[in-house]
Amino acid sequence: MKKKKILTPKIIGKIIVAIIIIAAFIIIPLPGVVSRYMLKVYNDGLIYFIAALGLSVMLGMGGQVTYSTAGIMGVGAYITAILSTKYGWNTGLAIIVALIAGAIFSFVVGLALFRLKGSYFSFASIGLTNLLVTIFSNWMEMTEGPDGITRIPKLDVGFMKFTDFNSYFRLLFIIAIICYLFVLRLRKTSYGRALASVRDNEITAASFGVNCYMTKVYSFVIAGVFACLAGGLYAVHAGFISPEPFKYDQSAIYLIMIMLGGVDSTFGAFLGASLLTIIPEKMRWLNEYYKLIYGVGVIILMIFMPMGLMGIIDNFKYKMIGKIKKRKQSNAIETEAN
Amino acid sequence: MVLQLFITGISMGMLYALMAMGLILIVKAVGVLNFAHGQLFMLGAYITWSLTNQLKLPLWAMIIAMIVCFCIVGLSFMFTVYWPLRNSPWKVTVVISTLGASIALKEAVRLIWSFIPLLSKPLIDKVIRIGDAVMNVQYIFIIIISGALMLFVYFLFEKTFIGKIMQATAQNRYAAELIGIPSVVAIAGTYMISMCMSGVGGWLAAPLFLVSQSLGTFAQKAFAGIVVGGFGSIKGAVVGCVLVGLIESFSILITDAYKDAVVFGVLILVLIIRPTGIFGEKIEEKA
Repeated sequence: MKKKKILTPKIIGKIIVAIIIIAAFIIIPLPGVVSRYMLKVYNDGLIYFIAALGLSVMLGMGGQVTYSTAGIMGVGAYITAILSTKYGWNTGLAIIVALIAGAIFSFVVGLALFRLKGSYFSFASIGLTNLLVTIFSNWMEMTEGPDGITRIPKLDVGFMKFTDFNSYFRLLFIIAIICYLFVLRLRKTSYGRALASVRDNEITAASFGVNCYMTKVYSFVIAGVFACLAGGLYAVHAGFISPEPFKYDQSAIYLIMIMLGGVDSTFGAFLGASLLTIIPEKMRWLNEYYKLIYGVGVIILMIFMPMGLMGIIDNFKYKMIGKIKKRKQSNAIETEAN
Repeated sequence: MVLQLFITGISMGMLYALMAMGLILIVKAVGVLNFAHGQLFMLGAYITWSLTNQLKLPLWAMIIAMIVCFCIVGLSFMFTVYWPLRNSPWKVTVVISTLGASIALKEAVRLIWSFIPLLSKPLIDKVIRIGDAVMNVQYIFIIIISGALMLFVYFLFEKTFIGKIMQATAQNRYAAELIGIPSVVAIAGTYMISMCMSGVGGWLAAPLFLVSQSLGTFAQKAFAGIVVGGFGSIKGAVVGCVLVGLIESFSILITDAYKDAVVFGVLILVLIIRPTGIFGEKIEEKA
């Protein structure tokens, strides 16, 4: 009998990751480590990551290309902002109401949109985003139109108040980790597997008793709740919202985030979201050429690494594992021969 | 008033239909959506503006140069955005690469022509009166030219040998290659025709809407028209787009600010009532 090892490489890896996460959680918001501006950028990155996670459930697990992420994020942001400014609600409560409203909204809309399939669903989701943006920029009494809602109160959950970027960083960090673990867990559930089977082949999935239509609608609801959460947090974090960040173009950026990180990986969503928020800040010296290079970069990315960064990492890992296994095998054969 | 709204609606619908038809041709040929189509439309407007206002070509020479330019653009678009990804197992990669192309095209246009909207002269700068309707002649031109172009492309695809080659490639690329059709040529041809259609659309729209980057958003109405019209049928897309144009122009009677909301609201309503679109046929899926 072999003694069971406690410290397998897998567990050591997990411990290292946990240490890195805790270190980042403690060190980054300390005063003087990163500038106030960069901290705001990191916070935005975390918010985008939450929205992108929802999309990764739909796109990576469900295979549905949707352009509604930004629009639904706007629903969450505007509900939070309107409730807390016009009606004087507590912001924490407003976000919770926004989440519930977002879930109901995306369920109803999902029922309608998923009567279409594939590309036509994508078309319709563009329509949804445009419809929402038109409402955001024209319903003057509620949304203040293109000027946007200003002076949104900071987040207040009764026992704690979040006023500066440092405390927001900690809050967003925790929420992001919870969301991340939720999606990671979702992959292992029967629902997650049903969703993956719908992505791979709907007819086969249906013949195994999966209700494809409702499975897709639920994935839309999950994505919608994540987007609403991100939207609500965006509103209280920035203190100001306008229709601009909820437009169709921004939805396309979420898609690119997922594809950059690696479509079938939850961690890839984090890589994509953080790279796409931090790279623009570091590439200021390119100024006017930046977006052109960015667009061309996306095409090149799709040509040379269609599975994103995580795809490359996984490939590398499999190759390395394969090599190690081969070496072990050849060693074993040699010892046997001896 | 009604007549005026009717004519503007139809002509807007024709512009959307030009784009929608090109989109459907590409979808049929290679099975993917082109999300950079609005930017190609915009590029068409900019190219024709440069040809007329900077090179000062006469109209006949301008049209020839325009078509040559569009063919080159279509060809290079296909070889950069679609061709390297043709064997990709996941269609989403091609969709994302067209998204990248739309960003790149928008920025390239901004760098070349700057972001200030440019003024483009209409073919004939005149205003006509029909009854109590007063409108720019350009609207009539749009209806005539885009209608003729769409008929031409329709006959090209349905009645000629070249069209049969393209259709064969669209239906089954593998089988088409087996009987000796070079699929590169057929797909390249589809892309060139598609670019020509949206480019001409941009040229026609320019005098009415100024030449600016916001022309790119026209494609979203074309998407709406395709869904309203029905699944992947060219006829349905054209009718759907004209309908979208009419809804858009008549919605002014009710509301001004919510013009887009009405269009997309109708789109979602159509999906709920009749998810296959107006001309959609129910196609059963096969394993």
